[in-house]
Amino acid sequence: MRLPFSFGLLFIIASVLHPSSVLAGENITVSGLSSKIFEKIIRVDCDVNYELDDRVKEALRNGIEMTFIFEVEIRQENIYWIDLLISHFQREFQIKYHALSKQFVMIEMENHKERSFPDLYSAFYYQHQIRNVELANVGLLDIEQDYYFKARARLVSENLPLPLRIKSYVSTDWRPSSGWIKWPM
Amino acid sequence: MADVRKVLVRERWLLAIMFAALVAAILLMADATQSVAYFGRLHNLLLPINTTLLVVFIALIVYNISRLIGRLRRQAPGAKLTLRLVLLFVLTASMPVFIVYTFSIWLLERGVDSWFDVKVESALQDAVDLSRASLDLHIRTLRQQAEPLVTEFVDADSFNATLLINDLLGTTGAAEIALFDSNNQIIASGNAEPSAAVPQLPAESVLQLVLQGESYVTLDPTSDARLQIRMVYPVPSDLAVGETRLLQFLYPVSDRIGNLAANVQDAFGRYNELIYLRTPLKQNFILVLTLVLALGALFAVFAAFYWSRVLVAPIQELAEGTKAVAAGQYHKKLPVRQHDDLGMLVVSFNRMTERLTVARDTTIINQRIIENQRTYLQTILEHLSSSVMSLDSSFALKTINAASSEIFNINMSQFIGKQFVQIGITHSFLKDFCTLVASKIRETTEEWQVEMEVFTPQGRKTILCKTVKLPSEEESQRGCVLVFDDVTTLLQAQRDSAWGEVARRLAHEIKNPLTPIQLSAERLRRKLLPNLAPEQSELVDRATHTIVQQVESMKLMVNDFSDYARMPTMEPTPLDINSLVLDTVELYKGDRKSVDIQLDLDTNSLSIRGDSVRLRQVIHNLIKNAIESMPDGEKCTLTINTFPFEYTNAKYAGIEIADNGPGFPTDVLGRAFDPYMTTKPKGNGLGLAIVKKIIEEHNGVIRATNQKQGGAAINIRFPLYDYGIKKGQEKLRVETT
Repeated sequence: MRLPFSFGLLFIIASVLHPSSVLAGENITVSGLSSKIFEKIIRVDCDVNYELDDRVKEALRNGIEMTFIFEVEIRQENIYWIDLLISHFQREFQIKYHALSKQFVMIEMENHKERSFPDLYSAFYYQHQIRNVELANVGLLDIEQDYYFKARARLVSENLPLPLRIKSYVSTDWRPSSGWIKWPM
Repeated sequence: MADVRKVLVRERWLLAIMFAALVAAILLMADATQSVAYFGRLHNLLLPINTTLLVVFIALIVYNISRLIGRLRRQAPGAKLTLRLVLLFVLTASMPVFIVYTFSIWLLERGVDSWFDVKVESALQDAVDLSRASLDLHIRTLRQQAEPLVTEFVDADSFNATLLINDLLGTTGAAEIALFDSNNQIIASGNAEPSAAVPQLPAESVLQLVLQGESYVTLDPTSDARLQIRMVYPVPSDLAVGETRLLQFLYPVSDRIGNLAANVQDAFGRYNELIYLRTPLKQNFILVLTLVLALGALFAVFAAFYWSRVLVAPIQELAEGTKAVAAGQYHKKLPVRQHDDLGMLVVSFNRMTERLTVARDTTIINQRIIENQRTYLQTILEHLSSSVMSLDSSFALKTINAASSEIFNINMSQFIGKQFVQIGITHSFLKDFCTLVASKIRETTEEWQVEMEVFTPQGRKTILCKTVKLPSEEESQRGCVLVFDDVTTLLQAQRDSAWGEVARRLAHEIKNPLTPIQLSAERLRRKLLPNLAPEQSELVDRATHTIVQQVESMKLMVNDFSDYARMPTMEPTPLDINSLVLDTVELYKGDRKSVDIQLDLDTNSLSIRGDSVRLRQVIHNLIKNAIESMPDGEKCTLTINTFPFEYTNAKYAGIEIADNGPGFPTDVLGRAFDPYMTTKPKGNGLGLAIVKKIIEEHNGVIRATNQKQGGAAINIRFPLYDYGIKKGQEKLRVETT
């Protein structure tokens, strides 16, 4: 009795906040992951395509700051328990609109470098190619074990302003994510 | 009921806790609405608290509803009233909640919108436009300065370009000048700050634009929240195609203009963000408001259940108490928990049960008394020799006693509930009797008494019937009581007594003159007869002879009267009936012409206490009576049978003497033992009367009947004194013939 009611309530809230939340179209995709070993370091290349919903783009153009994060991991398969994390890498960047200059300003969080772009396409294209990500030393890996790569790119909805954060709880459009994509090593 | 109280106390605490939680949530909500930022900080707290409360309230309400439904199904006392009160409370609470909710939504819509003043928005937009115009003016000046310089870099190699850049840095005021190829590779660059890092090259899209021959001029925000002017120009080249180069100038914006522009950007950016977030913010406020109001409404519903139970609890107690009283638990007491109107009701209930208990006890005592009296009366009635019957107002038989069946020798209990006349319909010999009694009951309202003769299979009976009406206000209590007495024996005794008196007087008054009459007649005969002529002598002889003969006859009759009237001076001793019969029958062995006596005597001795002389007279009289009853010339065949038998736990010795004569006429049968009742021409009618008198003197009973095969039978019963088995002796069968 309580569970269906709770779901019903959530549905009502979701409908109030975002009646078209079910019509999710664009999203973030991670593709073309490849790896190489150079100087005993496993290095990863991949492409991230940021296709955002129009509402998200509109929010950006209206001055809403958004943070995106790209993560890639090496994990050891474990059939009995959670797969063991061997290595983790993340790249985070913030993007915001500068109304006076009509530029989109991107701040890379790891070095706090700022770059300006005349449009969103240019800005996200700048983050399109992920190259030479150093993940782990080969010595950390056991040849007897199975490993795989896992990568994901997403909008950090926790950093959204509160009203949009609540929307992100109930609408996938407001928390675009590629989801974890796995590649065998 | 104590459990209900415990539950109520527990729920009272729960209600208080939930109320406190609700108030805390509302206060938190009120505090959160002070500002958007504060709301944001509290939001993470508000939502889980409200959701948890919501779930708890829903669970409690669902629990209460299911419990109420269960009670309604069981038809528990107070359940319907609880439902009504809950609905009433919920309805009462819903209306203000709805009004407040609607008003709040309206207020919220207007309140939030009022934060965004149109004039402020317009002013900010104007400030941005003004800033842009100011900066555009500055950019235009710089462009006029920079554009002619591009031609200087045509065909300039890296070295010359570096020298040229260093010259220009000093003359143009540019912060950075860089020459790079179409692959974004730097050919030459220079910065006003020698310690500056690698130049920031334009984005890919800018590069593509400039490579198409367009110039790119823009205002760039910097990492220190300042502004710079970026100008990118294509540099024509005489070298091979595809070697187009690009020249980028970065000009700083003055501190004053930069600060002002940064302020305008900051204010505009924040305001723009707020405007964008206005609708989601309102939706969030409405959501939280809805949650809080939903919580309030749910709390009201939960409270409605609680207060309904509180109000209904005493009524429920009263209902259960009333139920208990209805079930006969008059001792039921309810605790007085409150001193309001309901408390007074409980006190009144307790008083009522006290009085009911006293009344019940009194009733029980009275019932016992009545029952005892009834049993007492029943016992008396059951042992009465009179028949007592009660009829209801429709003349149906209600009650009878044991004597009712005994008097008429029929089972009266089968007629209980049936009409009184039904007895006469079932038993035809009672038809006239019942019809008469029924008509008398109907016609007469007063008490009445009547004596009637009824001819039953057992003989003629004289029944004394009395009726008493039972007047009553209640229909069920009306009716009448019939009392029947079989006065046959009483009347017989009265007749016997009267005849005894007559006989005694006759014996006394007649016997005395008889002897002088006889003596006188004999003297006359003796004195006159010799002296008279033959004709006269014959007359005197015949007359005196007749006188003497009649006097003798009268003497015999007077002796019989004397015997009948004589008071018993009996000396009872134990004697065997069989021996008595054998001794008496022995006298008739010589008279085989007139009588044939067959004996069927019991093998055991039937000992009674009696006077053997007088009992022999009884048997003698009965044999003689049987012989005399035979028509002339016919031989009398007598059967004498002795036997033991039991009746109502008493043992008796029986003698039956049956003959083959004509039997008793029907009209005489009932009075066969009355004095002067005879059918014989020469009989004086005292034989059977004397027999009966002797039998009664021995506490015995005698009855005359006619046999089916013809002939009369006399049955005699004596109380058995002793009954002994004589070993080896068969039932004695003796034939006197």
